[in-house]
Amino acid sequence: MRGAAMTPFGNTPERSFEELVHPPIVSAVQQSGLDHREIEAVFGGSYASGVLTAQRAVRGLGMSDRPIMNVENACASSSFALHHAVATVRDGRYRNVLVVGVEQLSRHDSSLVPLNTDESDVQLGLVMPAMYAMRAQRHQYEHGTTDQQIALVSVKSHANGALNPFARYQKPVTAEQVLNSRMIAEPLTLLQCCAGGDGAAALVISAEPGTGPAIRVAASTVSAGMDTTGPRDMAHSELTTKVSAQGYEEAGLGPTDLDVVELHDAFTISELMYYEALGLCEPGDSGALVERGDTNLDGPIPVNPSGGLLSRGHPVGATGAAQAVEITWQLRGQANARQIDDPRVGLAHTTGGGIAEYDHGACAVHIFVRESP
Amino acid sequence: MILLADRWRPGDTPSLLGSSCEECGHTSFPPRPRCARCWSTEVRGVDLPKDGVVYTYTTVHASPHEWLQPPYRLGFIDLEGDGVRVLAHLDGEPRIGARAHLTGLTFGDRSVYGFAIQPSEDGAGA
Repeated sequence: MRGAAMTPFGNTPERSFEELVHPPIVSAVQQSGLDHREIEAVFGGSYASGVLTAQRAVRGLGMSDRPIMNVENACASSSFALHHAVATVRDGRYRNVLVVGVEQLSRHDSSLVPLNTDESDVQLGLVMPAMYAMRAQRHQYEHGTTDQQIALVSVKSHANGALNPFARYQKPVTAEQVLNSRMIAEPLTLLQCCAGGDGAAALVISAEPGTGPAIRVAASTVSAGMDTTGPRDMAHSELTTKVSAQGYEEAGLGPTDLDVVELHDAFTISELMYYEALGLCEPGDSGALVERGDTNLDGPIPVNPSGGLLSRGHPVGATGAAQAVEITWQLRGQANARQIDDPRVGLAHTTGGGIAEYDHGACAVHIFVRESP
Repeated sequence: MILLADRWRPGDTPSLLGSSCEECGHTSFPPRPRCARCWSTEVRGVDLPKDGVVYTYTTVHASPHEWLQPPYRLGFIDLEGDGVRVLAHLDGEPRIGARAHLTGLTFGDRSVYGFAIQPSEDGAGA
């Protein structure tokens, strides 16, 4: 990881595409110490913001006549673009690759993330909050997880977001405010569901480190879930368990080696489920983990120091890259008010879902290690 | 207007339509012409069991459709028999583990399959 930058996320239809995406691209490339003409390929991640997204992102920057491709994997789009960048640099095909995640959801009519309207689940009236509400109901049934414990995820998220000038929401909230906000699908209230918005993030992946502390990509593992019309465990993410286990093996590390995590908290219950699936705690203990404050900025395993999807916002295609930006800034000591004490190993995790018969269509795990002090 | 007409038969006693593989026995909902597990095309259409158990559910307060007024209840029902799980609207007060029976439901001018929550043995519930 040789360059990492993002634009502040927010609901800003007045910002043009280039206003969103050019600043982080320029910043990431300048950080890398490379000339922009040394970028050999560009991989873009976007979901619902038009076609040829990466090509439009570099238009006017003199870096277009080279391999450019776009990845759409719902909420994991730019994580998969990062995965391709890592793979092609590792196999020697390219030496320097730009990854761009960008999304302009404010240009859509609905505040709901657009879904395929011919999907059977959508026709029935299933919305993403309802899907996760059902996971929460099951987690509460199996483990006794309380509404209060689930709400604490949002409290932590907003406390961290308040320290992050790049987050969409920068105001702390109390558990009472979270639980009293508008009910969306029981038990998930409005403040327990991420919102969309606009944003962009850019990364430079290189075969060689630049100056400054080297941030090595120690693991990049991805998969889709298995589609089934039969029963599956909806309270525990088998897909994240599998992909993170592959990531730990690739990196030669385990969950106890992690100093910081950015995971896919599209909903409060998601974060609790992913604590368990990433091995930060045993199944069923996630409520206690957040309640003890273990995943706060000053806890033993800080999770989503940026504020996560819940507070940073979720301009879908930009989220994966933004998580990698946060991890990079944390490892470099550049996270300012939300800086964790001397982290060396960070993990970023996204899942992309939203279609019938799949638990998720996509999951990506990246592990980053700061090599030199 | 009948929703998801490819996968149920409306009427006084509605049925969910699945496909069952003659080669490996795998059952699918909705019906598909090729077995998802072994790829055999020797599949036959079957009426699925009409009874099941609530695996999970929620009450939804924000609807994506004008014709579907909130609050409404959705749940996943594990059907008896061949390991099929169905997402459906629920009629009655749901509980995880409650028994449910297939029924037809209408929302304005739309009709779709749903499950009616059955009273439990001690008389609690719907």
